[in-house]
Amino acid sequence: MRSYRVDLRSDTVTRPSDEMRRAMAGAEVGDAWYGDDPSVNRLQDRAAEVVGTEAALYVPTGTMANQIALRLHARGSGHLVACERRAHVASTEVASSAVLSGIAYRRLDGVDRGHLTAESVTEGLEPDTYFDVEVVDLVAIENTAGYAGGTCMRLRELEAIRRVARSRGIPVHLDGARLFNATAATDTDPADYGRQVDTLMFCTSKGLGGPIGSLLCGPVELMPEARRVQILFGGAWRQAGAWRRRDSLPSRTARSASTRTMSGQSDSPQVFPTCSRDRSTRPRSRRTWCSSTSGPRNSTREP
Amino acid sequence: MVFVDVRATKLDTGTVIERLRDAGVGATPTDRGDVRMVTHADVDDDGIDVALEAWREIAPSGSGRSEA
Repeated sequence: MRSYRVDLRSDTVTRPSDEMRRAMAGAEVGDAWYGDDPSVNRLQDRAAEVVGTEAALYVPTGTMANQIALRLHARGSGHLVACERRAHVASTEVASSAVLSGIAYRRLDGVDRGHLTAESVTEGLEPDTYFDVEVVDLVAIENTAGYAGGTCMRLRELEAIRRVARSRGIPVHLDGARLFNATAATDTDPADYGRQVDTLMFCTSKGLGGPIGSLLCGPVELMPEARRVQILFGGAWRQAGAWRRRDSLPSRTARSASTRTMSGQSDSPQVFPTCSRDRSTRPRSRRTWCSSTSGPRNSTREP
Repeated sequence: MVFVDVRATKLDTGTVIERLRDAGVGATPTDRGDVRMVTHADVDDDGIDVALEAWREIAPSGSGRSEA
């Protein structure tokens, strides 16, 4: 193994802290395929709560979370996803999208520091009146924009894009692999983003400093199909709670990870950065697929 | 995240990545030939100083922009 004095290849290279390793050693686990892993179930509940969606599904990678979301939104083979030209889904994941779901892309120029704007999305969603074969099923947003150097999308721009897409009956997916870097940098609440989009993905293995896994977040009714696709794609977990225990996860946040001086450990470790905003306005119904009435199995999550 | 346009060094991107690696700094190339560096929770001030020193070696005349 190559060792570096400072490894800046990616924010995915972080190693679990001693605190995290102790939490892993003591984590309650079960077979997540059966919905029996209490640590995974708590993580999913907590993720949904933080980003303001009804439910969440823990999957192995950010690519898989995006690919499940794209599959959920795509209505036909050869249909298009509109996104910024260099978006992760349309570059790193382009072959995955084609192979797994027959998805192609309508690539739009990122006119605002690598981000789409409502104006560019409006133009990008113009119907294909000439060839009459191009159908856009989804608008995919990336925040922060990785290939643009981690720039943040303005929340009001996301709101405007959402309105444009919704007026055309097109859903919006947010690739928020580094969403918490954006919320820390702009002092915004992750739930403000979750409320604007139909589905949202974020990674625990990037700015949050966790070891493995991403959360696909969205409405309860999508989760049984999301879980089916997770299994279809070969990404079902077993005792995944072994590296996830919500109440003992890193206190290191996107904010501390993005500054030169590390703030160290806090007294009340938590997996997600907190925000000063009042959380009482968030949706009351926050359920994982396995605790929803539409889910096929009973949850064993704790109160 | 920091992206460095290395054209002014007269070195190709791969060579810059190798020199950084020899100095103990992990970095990656982008599809546009830039060098990408990403901070994270395991990077401290000393690590940043190591990276800055490595860049001073690679681009000694400097553009003056490497001072953080």
